[in-house]
Amino acid sequence: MGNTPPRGIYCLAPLNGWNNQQLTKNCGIVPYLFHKLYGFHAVMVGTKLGDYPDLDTYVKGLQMDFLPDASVETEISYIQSHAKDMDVLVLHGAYDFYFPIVQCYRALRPDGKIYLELDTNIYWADRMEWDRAAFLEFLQCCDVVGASCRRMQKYIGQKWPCVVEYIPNGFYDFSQMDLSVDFTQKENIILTVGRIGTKQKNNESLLEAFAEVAMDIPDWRIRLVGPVENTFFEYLRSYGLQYPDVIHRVECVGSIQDKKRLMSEYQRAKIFALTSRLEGGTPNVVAEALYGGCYMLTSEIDASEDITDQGHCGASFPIDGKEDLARILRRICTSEDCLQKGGQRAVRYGRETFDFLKIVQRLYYLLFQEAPTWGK
Amino acid sequence: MGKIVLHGSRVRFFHDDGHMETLLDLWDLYANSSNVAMHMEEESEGKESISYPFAELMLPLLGLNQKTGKKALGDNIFFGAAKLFLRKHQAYQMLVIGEIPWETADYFGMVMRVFHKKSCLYWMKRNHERSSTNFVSMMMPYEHLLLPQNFFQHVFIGDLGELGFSDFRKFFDQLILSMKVYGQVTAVCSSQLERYLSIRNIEGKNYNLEKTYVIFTVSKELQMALHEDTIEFAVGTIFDTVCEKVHTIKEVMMERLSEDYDIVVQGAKEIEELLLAIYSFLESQEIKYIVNRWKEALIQYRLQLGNKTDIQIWYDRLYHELEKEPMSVYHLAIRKKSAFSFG
Repeated sequence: MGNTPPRGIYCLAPLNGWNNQQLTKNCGIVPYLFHKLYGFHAVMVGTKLGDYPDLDTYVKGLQMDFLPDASVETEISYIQSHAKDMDVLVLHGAYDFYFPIVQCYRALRPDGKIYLELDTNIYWADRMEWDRAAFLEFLQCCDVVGASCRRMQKYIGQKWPCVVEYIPNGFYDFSQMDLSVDFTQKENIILTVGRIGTKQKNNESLLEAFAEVAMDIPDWRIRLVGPVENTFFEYLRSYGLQYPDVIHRVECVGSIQDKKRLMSEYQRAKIFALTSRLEGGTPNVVAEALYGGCYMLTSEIDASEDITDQGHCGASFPIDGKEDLARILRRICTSEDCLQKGGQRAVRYGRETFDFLKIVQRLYYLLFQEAPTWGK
Repeated sequence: MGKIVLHGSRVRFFHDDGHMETLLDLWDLYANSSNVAMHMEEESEGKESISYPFAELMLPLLGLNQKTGKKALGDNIFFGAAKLFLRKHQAYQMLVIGEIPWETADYFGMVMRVFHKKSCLYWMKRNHERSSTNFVSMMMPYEHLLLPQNFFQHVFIGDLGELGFSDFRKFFDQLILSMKVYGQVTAVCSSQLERYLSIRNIEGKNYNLEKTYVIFTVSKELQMALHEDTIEFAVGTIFDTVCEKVHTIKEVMMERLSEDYDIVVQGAKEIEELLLAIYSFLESQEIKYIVNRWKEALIQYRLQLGNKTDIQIWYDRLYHELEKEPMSVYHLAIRKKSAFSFG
């Protein structure tokens, strides 16, 4: 009796290739967990974009296949030579260039499964000509179409003639960390994590709102974690000139690669703030912040209700709404009870909804209509 | 030169040689439901005069050629239709499609309203150069007829070749659905029409006049068969299936977990797919989302990640959404009708 070869899950990069950061976000976590939990052969396919230190550190067992270029012809050629191993094909985004790739895969693997992950927002979805014949054919080929926030699940479900599942961007503990949150040890920190200073992240509005209420919450400070745009340093200089008594309470921590250290930031902070103008679905940092027991403040991006558990573990404010954010900060930062209850709720909610182990289990079930067996 | 003269109720033709021929006696229509008098007597300046309003009204409908006395359309189609309308005092709706003389439409529309003020002639053609208060002008693509259902008692169709399209089956199906049961269709004969009658197994009567006409009646069975062939009926049937399946799953969804629970989830998946198929016909915008939440709750429970409370919550929402869907009322009406039709 011979050994059955392991099934294969292949993730095709949407644009060029994968970067190192994506290996430990939803793009990499899903195939990684299919490998770790269910014994799949997991491959990320795309052109090479720099180095991948996380391959050995966090996602050992995940393989990368590098293509010479990102042309459709190259990708189709790859599909043709690997189709027999590709039991699951994962796509990120409903892009036109995936259409011929999917057709090729389907022709070679009518039994294969296609998971289309939509990291989209309403503005993108609104402009999309979804009723084109080519797109409808593409949709029909997909076995599971997933949206990462409830609002998009509903919105796209009303437009597109397909079932749209809720597959959130969850949290996975790569480092066997201590995930317990001691609320007595939390500090008066408003934390934000991401690419600091980009127009999309709109960190300026957090700083402006903070400056407005700084005198009312004298023992609070802001910590900005993540790579910082050069232009943001310019902004910080002028912010310091404008608010000389506040600038020392704004800390630029820089990028943190180590997961344990990053989680400790969340566990320290009482509040996590997201001031983005736009996001594609639910940002990965959200699940991390929920696990870290943070009270969640978010701009009204598509996923705002998911982020705050409908207001039970946080609050939302209009995009660019500095005054509203200031009002919320003034109220929340002076209410210890609200912060603690919100933070405790965040932990419970995060573990129920954003645990990637649970999410992947359900995704497996959706793809194969059976419960997964560990190491199957 | 000959001429047509109305003598009382008799329509007479005087030939060139002075010979007189009685073409027909409109007094034969004495037993009619109109409120137009067969004859009236008036006295003026000591003289008595008798008029025959009914005959004068009906004479133009005969379409008689003044010079030859011949009936231009034999037992003129419109005269034949009028005889139908006269049987009962009832509002009649008639649809004419294609080219007929404007004067015919105008006059006939007027006559219909004389017989019953709520009767109406609807005239559909590509372009209407002149309107009239005596008929309703309709313009729509023949390929995509949009007509009320169960409405017309009579449809007259001109030469189909002139109508300029090829999907006659869809065209006639839509027409028949727009008619009342036992309504009558009169159409100029053509190969397409003969093919349609053959496909639908309809018996018509041929009349050889200036052109060959076919007249057939819309039976109950024919209309029901067409109705069942419609997308609305198919959608209603699918909706019924959804409701039955939801009810079936309700009985088992709270049971203890076992390997058989996959069947429950599979059932929910099938319901979701059925609703997806008819979603655009449903009033509810939420139903797709709700059924997915219900399925999600079932899967979570199956994987021992969720609880029965969520299953019940989303089931209740799904049930409520299905209940308020007008589709359920519509399809019930159709099934009642069909039960009535087939005893």
